[in-house]
Amino acid sequence: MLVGTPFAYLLARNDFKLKEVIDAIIDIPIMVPHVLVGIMIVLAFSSTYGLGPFLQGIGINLIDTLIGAIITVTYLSATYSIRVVESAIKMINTDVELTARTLGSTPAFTFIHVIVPRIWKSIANGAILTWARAVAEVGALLVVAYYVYFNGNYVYPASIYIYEGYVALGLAGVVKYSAALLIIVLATFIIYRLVLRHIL
Amino acid sequence: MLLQLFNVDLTLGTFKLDSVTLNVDQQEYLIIIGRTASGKTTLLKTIAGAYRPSSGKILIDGSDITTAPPEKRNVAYVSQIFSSFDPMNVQGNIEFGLRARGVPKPERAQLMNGIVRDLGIEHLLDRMPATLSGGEQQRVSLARALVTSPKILLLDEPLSMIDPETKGPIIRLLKAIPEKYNIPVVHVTHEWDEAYALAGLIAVMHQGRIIEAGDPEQIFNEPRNYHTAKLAGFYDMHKGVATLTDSGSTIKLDNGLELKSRMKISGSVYACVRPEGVKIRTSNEFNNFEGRIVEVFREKFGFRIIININNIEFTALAGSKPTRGDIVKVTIPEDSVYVVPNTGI
Repeated sequence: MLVGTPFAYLLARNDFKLKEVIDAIIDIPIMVPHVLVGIMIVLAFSSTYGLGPFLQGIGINLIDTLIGAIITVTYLSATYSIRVVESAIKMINTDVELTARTLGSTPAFTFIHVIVPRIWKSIANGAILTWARAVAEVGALLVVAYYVYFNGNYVYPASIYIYEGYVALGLAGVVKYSAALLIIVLATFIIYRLVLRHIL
Repeated sequence: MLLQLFNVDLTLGTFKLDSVTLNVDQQEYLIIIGRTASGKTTLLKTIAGAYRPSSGKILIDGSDITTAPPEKRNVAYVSQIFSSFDPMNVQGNIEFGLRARGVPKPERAQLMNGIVRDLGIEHLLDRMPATLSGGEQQRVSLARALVTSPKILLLDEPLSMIDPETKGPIIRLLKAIPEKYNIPVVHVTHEWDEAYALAGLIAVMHQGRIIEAGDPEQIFNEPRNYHTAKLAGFYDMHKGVATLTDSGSTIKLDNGLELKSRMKISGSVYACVRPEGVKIRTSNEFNNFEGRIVEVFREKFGFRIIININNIEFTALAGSKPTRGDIVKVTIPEDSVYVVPNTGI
């Protein structure tokens, strides 16, 4: 939400050089297998390639860390949030913003008080889709953050844990974990829809 | 002059504002009139700050605001659609500009009370904008704009979404604004009646240029070019060649028909005739023709009929319903034939 919403506004309201390139980069997670995205991230940030040595020099390590996993799923899933919010902003007539601006409202005040109240539902929809997409991620995490060392323990993303369980123990060994994840996601979506209906 | 535009150029895709120059006085009511896509709204939005001119200057009260953002121009823009700030109620909408400027709450209430009283909308303050009628929405838009004490009020087709009965009171309200609030109004429209009722000054736009400006009577009675004449209600405009005569001129139209006019003009011209200038079954010394009625339209005042005379069509008005296909005698008095030179605009 914090990254995708301003970015969506930028794309919806501005034409600039290389916009098509930026658009294509945002759509990469839809275009290619996520394993490939994982490989791109490792090439860019591992300890021996790209920005990795520099980041390690200042104490930041993205591979097999929580921050690496978050950045990976954020990039892979934010596409949905950006596109949903971008479409909602495009639906708002630009005259509304111009009216507000000529009344003395700065771009930030206009965005917060005029635009956000009109698109909050799309922001919420984008956010839950992004979260769901992040929960479902496997391919890139297999490469970037197969496990995460967090708070003294090795933590596996749920999707990877289930996949590994299936490979090692077979179907019977992972049914309960699969069912648990399904129930959590389904319950979250149902609660979200009920809350949304209650608010409206 | 409060608002001055000097040779303002702007390109938006394939559209171009071309060297627009305008001067608007303190309490002027300027109407910018033009057909769809003539550039009138683009010009208004350029004054509002939505677009930055590629060249030229815009001055407000002597200050150059050509590159200033909209919030620094102190102009208020009222758009064609009602731009409600949801989910605020009417009061929230009217106070929006004051809140954005950091005006303290007690002062906001005082300013708002004054303006809502002026516009007769005190009873609407708790309503949501979506529940208002077109006329009420327009009053709220005006209140929201005027409460910020703008130096100029910019109106983009403010009557286009209002039903005919509500238009009268809103037109009275708009006409009073320049004097009451001591500001100029720049109002964009394509409706001639609206323009004629409100304007102190009219500027005619065509293809991104101001092709004519003047007082409404001059523009209405003596338009200087084809497009202005068309907007001013000359339904029938036929190309021809004028030659001078003792009493005016004779215009030989492209189909061979000859029309006499009292205007002294020669060369390539357009002969312009309003429907009320085409008389049926009367006779005159000149301009008597026979024609066939090819179409009849019902109007508020009776009927508007299209008459084909020698393969050129003229529009006339009739009180009783004529029959399509009838042959009628037609006369066009010489003083009803207005002539504009064919200058290509």
